[in-house]
Amino acid sequence: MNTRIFKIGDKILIVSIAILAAVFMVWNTVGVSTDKKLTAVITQNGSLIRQINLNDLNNPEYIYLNEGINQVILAEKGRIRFIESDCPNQTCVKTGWLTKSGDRAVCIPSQVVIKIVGDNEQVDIFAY
Amino acid sequence: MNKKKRDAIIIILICNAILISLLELIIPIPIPVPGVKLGLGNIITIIAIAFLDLKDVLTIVLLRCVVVAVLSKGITVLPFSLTGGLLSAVIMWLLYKYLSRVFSIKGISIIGAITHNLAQLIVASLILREIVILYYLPILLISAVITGLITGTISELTVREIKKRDIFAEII
Repeated sequence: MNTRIFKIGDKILIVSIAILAAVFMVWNTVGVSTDKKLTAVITQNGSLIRQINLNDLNNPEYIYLNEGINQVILAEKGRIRFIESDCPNQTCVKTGWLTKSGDRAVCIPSQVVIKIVGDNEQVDIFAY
Repeated sequence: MNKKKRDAIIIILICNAILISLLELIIPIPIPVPGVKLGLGNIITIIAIAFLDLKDVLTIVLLRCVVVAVLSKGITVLPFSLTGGLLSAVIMWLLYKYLSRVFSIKGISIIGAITHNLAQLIVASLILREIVILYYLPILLISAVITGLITGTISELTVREIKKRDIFAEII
């Protein structure tokens, strides 16, 4: 009877996931262009609510969302985040500051997504 | 096959699954990715897979998801948890039935965790109409391996003990 702790499939599985995850992480950090231009796109239910140029923001701006779930977004120079939310999980708030192109925070109950797009991403192609 | 004892065991498993899932909600997981949790309820799913039919397994998963969603006042998460739970249960059942020589219960549990989380992310992407998957994928994979290993090890030991002591002898 096979009494090994890990069977062959387990080992292959864990190793390939480790490799995959490492590749993804490298791709997410290295592949991200050091865009000088940071634009935050806020959508709800897939439709655009606000688009903010974070570089031009000299004073912090609070954005209040009151449709269903009350939420507050704080946008500052170069970064943006959910700062308050009535949702049960608080995943959106826990995500913290979004600072570079590709960063995003989602709130599934309110269907609000904050995404930072850089120069190369086209802002209008995200609803499908 | 003793039907009454089998039904009783199914009910006990459902109750345990609900209890474990509810208690698990109290443990905070600091990872800010939607849907990452310990998934200890899957221990019950795996026990069910090891000793019961697919139909019973799916019943247990279905009832657990619905009751937990209702009791934790998170009805909105139902489409996510149901899709993930049922899909991962089916895949784990297939793996256990046909690929037991390739994967131990640990591996099956890891694949179950990946499937569960992946399904939830896909449903989230559809609802939010955003391609959120790629961004969360690495964290999801790593957390699935860790939680899958923990749950899988516990499940494996439990199943082994149940078999050794012949607890479910009358219903197999």
